[in-house]
Amino acid sequence: MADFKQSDPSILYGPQLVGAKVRELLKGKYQVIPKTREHIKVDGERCVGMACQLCYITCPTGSFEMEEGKAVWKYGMQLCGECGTCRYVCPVGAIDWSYPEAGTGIVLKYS
Amino acid sequence: MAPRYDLIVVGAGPGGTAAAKAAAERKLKVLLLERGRRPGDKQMSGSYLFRTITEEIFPGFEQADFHKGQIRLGGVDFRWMLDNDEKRHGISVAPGADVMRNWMTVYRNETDEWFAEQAVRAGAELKTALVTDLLWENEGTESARVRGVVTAAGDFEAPATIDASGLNSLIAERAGLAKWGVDKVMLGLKYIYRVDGEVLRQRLQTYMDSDGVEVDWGATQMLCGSNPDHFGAHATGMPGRGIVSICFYSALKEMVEARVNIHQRAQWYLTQPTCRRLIEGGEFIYCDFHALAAGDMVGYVPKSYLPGLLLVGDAGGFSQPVDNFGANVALWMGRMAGELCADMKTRNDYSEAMFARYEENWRNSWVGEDNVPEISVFMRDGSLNQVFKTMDDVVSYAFACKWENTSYPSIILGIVPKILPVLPALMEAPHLAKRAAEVGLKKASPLMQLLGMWPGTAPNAPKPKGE
Repeated sequence: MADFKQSDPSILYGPQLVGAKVRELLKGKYQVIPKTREHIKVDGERCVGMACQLCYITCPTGSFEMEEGKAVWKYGMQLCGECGTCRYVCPVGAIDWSYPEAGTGIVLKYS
Repeated sequence: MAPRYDLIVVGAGPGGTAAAKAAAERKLKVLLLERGRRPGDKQMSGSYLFRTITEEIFPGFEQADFHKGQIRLGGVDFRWMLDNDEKRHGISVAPGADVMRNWMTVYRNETDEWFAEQAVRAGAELKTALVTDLLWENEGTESARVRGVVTAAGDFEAPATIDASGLNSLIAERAGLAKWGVDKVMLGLKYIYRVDGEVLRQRLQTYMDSDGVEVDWGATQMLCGSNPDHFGAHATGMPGRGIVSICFYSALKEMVEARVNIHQRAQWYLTQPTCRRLIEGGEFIYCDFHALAAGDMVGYVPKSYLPGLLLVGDAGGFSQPVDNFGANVALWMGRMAGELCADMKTRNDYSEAMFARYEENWRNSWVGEDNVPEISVFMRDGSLNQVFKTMDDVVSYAFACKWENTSYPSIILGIVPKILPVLPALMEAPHLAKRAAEVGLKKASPLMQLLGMWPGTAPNAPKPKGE
């Protein structure tokens, strides 16, 4: 096997849900300019919860958590990559999606 | 009264900056809006530019100071990664061939900032603001037209607005022009590793030197494999920065059906020797992601304009269905849109017919020629990897030949003699026709007939000479 560092994405390998592992992988890796508001919200009334879980499963930053049978955008203020995956995968339109205010949110730069 | 401009451009990526620069150079009062602190802050992917296109639209790019003498120009190495096979496929462009020199592997975050600087230098005004809505005239009626934008920093008015704000454009949706669903969107994920620059240079040299690619220029490898997912990838090595980035793409629909996360999907590639030997011993820095239009069909919007509004690049779903390097498309469309707006001002004609001209213009350019359904079906089918085993020469050649005024169909037609030997392999790919039927192509186009991609249509190409 390759000599991967511990924080290598290959720790994610496996069929299980990856949310917690993704968060571990990304811990301290991002520059996020503090946001002024929650720009993504899950409508608990519409969310079909455990029968679906698609936002929770597919979010590439692990920003969602299932709580009391509903999806919650729990870690998004720190992690959300503003990619839009959740708004497209939600089958019931329960995700109210927007960008964070100008000048805030994730900065995708490595130097 | 909201501040008034001749043109508002939303989004300072390649499309937005090209539009703003083109219009400002023609003396329009241009407002360029960007939601990142600086252009490039929110940039992900799109790191491959054609030199001919970039140089034409942003002259002096290759000599720009921001490269800081770092290695920034790159050849592209076409490598079809087949299962665990380390054998190389698809690199057959003659050493030193000029065609390979048309590619650049660039660090887009800084590139976008530089593009924006050029637009500002030409006279555009750059502002940090998130555009949340449009201002309308006669909203909801037949004569509705866009007359500006709404931002947290206030409203801005202009007779023309160019939306170049990416796939998740809030305003293209608000205008009713774009409506993306789970079946029309692909997610890209990029892992970025820090690898010692000298080590990386040697690795690239080992794998690329025989192709005459100057690895000092950096390098990009196109990767695909016979894994069951319709899933593409590419790896980029930039020795000057000591960076390797590996990008993966997956259709959201397929991830939803399989109920997997894109990180899980990416594992297959990470375990392949082609990727492993590039990142081995490297340090994972972070990853980023973005959504892009990529359904089974060509992803672009049915209509790319409204009176007062033009969609450029990803905002209209204009990816490049063959190479997926939509930044080039955005640059080209952006300039077209910017020039058209200047034309409107000169004539003082902001009628719907003038805005409609934008659609006519891009359809008649290589952008329109490349965005045809059969090209999309042909390139996006994951099982085509099998065909690539025999077609690699042809495909590499096609990629490498891509020039600003050549479209992929014309390249493919131009290399028919090269394709002929592999036609049997193509004919044995019934999934292509099935796929084409699935996406609603009712009859074979001349191109598909030629490639034998339709049941019951014999290739009508001439027989190879002397065989």
